[in-house]
Amino acid sequence: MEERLTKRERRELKRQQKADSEVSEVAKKRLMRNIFVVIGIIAVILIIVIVRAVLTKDIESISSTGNDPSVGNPDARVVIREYSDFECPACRTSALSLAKVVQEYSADEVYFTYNDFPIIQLHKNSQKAAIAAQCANKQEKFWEYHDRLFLDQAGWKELEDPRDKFIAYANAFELDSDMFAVCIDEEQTKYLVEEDFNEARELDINSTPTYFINGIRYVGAKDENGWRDLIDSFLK
Amino acid sequence: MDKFLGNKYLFLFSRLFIGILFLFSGITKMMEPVAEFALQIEQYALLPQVLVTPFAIVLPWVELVFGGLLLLGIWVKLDSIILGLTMLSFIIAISQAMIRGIGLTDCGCFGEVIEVGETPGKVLLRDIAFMLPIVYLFFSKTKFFSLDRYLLK
Repeated sequence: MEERLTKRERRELKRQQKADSEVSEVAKKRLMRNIFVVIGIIAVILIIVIVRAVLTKDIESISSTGNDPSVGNPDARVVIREYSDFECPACRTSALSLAKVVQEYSADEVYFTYNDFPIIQLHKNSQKAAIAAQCANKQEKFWEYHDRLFLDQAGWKELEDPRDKFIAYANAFELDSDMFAVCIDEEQTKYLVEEDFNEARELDINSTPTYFINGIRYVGAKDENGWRDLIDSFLK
Repeated sequence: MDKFLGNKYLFLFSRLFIGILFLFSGITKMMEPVAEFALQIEQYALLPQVLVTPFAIVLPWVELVFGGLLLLGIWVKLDSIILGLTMLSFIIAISQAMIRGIGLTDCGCFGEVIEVGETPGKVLLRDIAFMLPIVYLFFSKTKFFSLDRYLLK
């Protein structure tokens, strides 16, 4: 067929074929580039995810300060470590039900320890509440104070300065109010809360409440039945 | 107009500026707990609850990946579309918050690493200003100092 073409037509055909091959060459290069870029993006994402996972410490590697409020025997069969925020509504639901459920088990069955993770950017009084609870802990009334803070969350979370309210709670539990008032202003108490917070960040905790049960991470609130089922599954 | 759209220095400046801006913004958001960023998104009261956390997880990656690609000069048109839509979503979010009178403690623009502490009006103006180089990049007619140019050689 090509033989029947005139010289001019053959020249035109060759030019066309050359142009077509250039187009397919560009398309090929484009495809290669796209594959290369997509592989690059996946590689970068994988590297970031792996580096973050490596840098995230394991709960076992975080040594407890010993100051954290706790109930039960540290060698109990189920060890629950909670990271919570007194001003977070989900923490309220979960903490109150867990506090109730824990009492149903013996000290050798469940060990429960509370750690602060106040998200102050969104919960303006959460750190102050955590400090107040630490002060109650110094006078061995942490759990009563913990329950009161959660139960009366709506009563202090919007206050400009909840100091007086926190002292009033302390008085209600017959704590030494002078000692309590000094304690909530002390840098040392603030440091205890910050220590818990930094610990939580090292554990890559993203939200409250977060629990570690025998080293396994559980995120989010649970009701009483949820807690019972979970604890029982560890005791089986 | 062609001269303006083909200005290689303006193209390079816009690309580096927007690329670094989004790359930085993505990294800072990734450095904070997802829940904190999710709560900052919640402040805007715009997204349905079910979408807040997925958005808080995906947005920093989008900023990081497309900011990085733009910085390198790969897929500039696609990057400008994605980052343009992202910026548009910020503009819509902040505008509706202003109209509805929602008090924002912080815009959440750079996670908690930098608390911009600006008024919503200032954030809106800044976002609109950032939109200009993005639109320019979409219509630009040069590939000056782009990795794309070398990959397609």
